[in-house]
Amino acid sequence: MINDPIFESVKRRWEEVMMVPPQRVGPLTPLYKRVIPLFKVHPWRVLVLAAGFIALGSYILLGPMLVRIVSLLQKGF
Amino acid sequence: MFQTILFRFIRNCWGLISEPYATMRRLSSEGNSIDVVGVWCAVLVGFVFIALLRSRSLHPFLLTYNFGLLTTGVVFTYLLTVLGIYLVGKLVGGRGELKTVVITWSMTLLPTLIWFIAASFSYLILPPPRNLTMLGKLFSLVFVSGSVALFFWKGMLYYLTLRFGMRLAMGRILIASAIIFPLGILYSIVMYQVGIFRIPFI
Repeated sequence: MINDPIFESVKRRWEEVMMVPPQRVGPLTPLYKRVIPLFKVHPWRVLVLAAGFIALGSYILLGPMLVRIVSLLQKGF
Repeated sequence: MFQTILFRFIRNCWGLISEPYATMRRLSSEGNSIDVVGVWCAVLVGFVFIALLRSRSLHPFLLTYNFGLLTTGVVFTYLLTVLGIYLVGKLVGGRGELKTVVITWSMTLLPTLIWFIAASFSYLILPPPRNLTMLGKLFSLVFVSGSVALFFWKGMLYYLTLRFGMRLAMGRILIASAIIFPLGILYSIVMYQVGIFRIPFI
């Protein structure tokens, strides 16, 4: 059993998963447990949506200034 | 050897895009120098391209100067950040090793590299300044969205570096960040004034 490759693989995976204790954020823990899975697998869905809203909000807030900021950013590489 | 580096680099890239949490956890336990070499090779190739665009010439002196300046700046910043994260992490009670931070933090260079390359390409295809037409505004929105998304991705990888690299819990990550961020802002201002980075995105 000890030398079984499947057992070894499961053991290695278990050790990897248990590397850090589960995250606790006090009273916010249930909310944390609900939100974080969205970022664990394919976080791009959430990130791109949030980034789109932020860009739109910035445009509403800054107006033409945003276009000038982008011109500056484009020269920033 | 080259095939191993390339295979692991592609595997890590895909992992960081699709499952960043599991990938960073795997890298912190079984990652090694091959993973770091893969990222740095990509960074250096990207910088050759950026140096070409920055100098706007094929003059060897200008190319070497721009490439050297950018690479020295990035390597120095990387080493300083790794050391900073390790020392601050230890200060707040982290149990990680320097080697793990070196591996996990090197992965955060990926969003930086993608941003630099995307900005360079956009500079090449649609050189600034943007105008206030519909298309100019639309491009600005797309550019800002992309930059913010990459910035969030970088932030997520920063969190995972402290989580798995230094084995810290949320409270300690926040305390460590309260020490690291002001130092990072100060360093960015210095780098901007020296003229190495115009955008503090490393």
